[in-house]
Amino acid sequence: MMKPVTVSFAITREDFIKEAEARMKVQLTASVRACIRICGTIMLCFACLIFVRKKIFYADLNWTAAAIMAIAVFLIFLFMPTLGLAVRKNASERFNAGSIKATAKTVSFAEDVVKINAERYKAKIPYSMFYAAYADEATILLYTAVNECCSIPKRTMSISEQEQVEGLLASKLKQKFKQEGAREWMR
Amino acid sequence: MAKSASPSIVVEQKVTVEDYSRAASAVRYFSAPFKRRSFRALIFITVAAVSASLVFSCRSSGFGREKIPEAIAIISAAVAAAIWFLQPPAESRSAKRLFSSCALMSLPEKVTVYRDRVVIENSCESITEYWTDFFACVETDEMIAAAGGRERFLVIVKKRGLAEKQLKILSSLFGYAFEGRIHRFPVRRKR
Repeated sequence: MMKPVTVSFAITREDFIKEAEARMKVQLTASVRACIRICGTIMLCFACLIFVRKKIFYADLNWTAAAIMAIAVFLIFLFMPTLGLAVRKNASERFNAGSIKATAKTVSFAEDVVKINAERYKAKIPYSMFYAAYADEATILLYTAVNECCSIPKRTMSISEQEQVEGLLASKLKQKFKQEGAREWMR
Repeated sequence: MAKSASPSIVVEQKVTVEDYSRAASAVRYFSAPFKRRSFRALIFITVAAVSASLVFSCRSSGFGREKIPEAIAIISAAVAAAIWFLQPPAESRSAKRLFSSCALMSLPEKVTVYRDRVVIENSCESITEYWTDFFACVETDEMIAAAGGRERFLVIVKKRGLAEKQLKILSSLFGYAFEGRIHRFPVRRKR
């Protein structure tokens, strides 16, 4: 019988920013990110082709080619960092404005269920009822629906507890558990 | 936790995907009027009408470029028709996808409605939502739906099986909580 991992916490500004980043990563899956980079690469090749083979195309397409190249460079190298920056800024502003109204929570990962205890929410949810779960280096997200999720900052757990929780989520949720890094490439 | 001395109604129900879809549609109708299909289609019909009127003026002034407004008018009319016919099924699909993603929402539940809050209990969870967090409430013939909860965005209270007296209390509780912000769907025209 496994000893449950129990954590109690309140969401801080840093936690909220990291949660927003994690949610962004869930929505922008590796395949979407790859698609954006491929689009950028195709556009870059097309712009280079215009520059190299001007005679095929119209000579006055230089400015168009330059614009396409700029967009392509943005898509390949700057899209994700810019999006991340925007998400962090937005999360920080929302937290400072007090619009998130986060309350303290106690979350317990047991063998068969996850217990959540907050001021307005008490739950004992079997792993099979979760829609998905996600873990990156700072946060664990437990999705009960596409638009409902509970975030647990990893700072509240020791390294061994983190490993235990991630192992539990991986074994119980299988394909529904996504982890930033190795597992993403294993799928 | 507040004392439950204030009047309350207890509803035992099981929300289905159709209930959720209808509730989401009703709430969206009032909470986002600019996203209504009639509004969006009207914008494109206006563009189509303006472009169509330019076709005749282009022809009469002999510019010979009436193809451009013609094309804009046709495309705008097509977009308006597409919005009119495709938006409702798309919205319904989206609501159904959302509902089917949440196994907890389809569990049988006990909903206790108070003047200031609602408590939703099922075999896995207990949620307390305060009406002050909600921004929209819609009453239909079959249910009352409120949107904006922190833990559960859309709260649905089905009317089926309730006695006339209970329905009156339920309406008065929501009327008190949402004073002037409760809408009726489908909209009934005043005679």
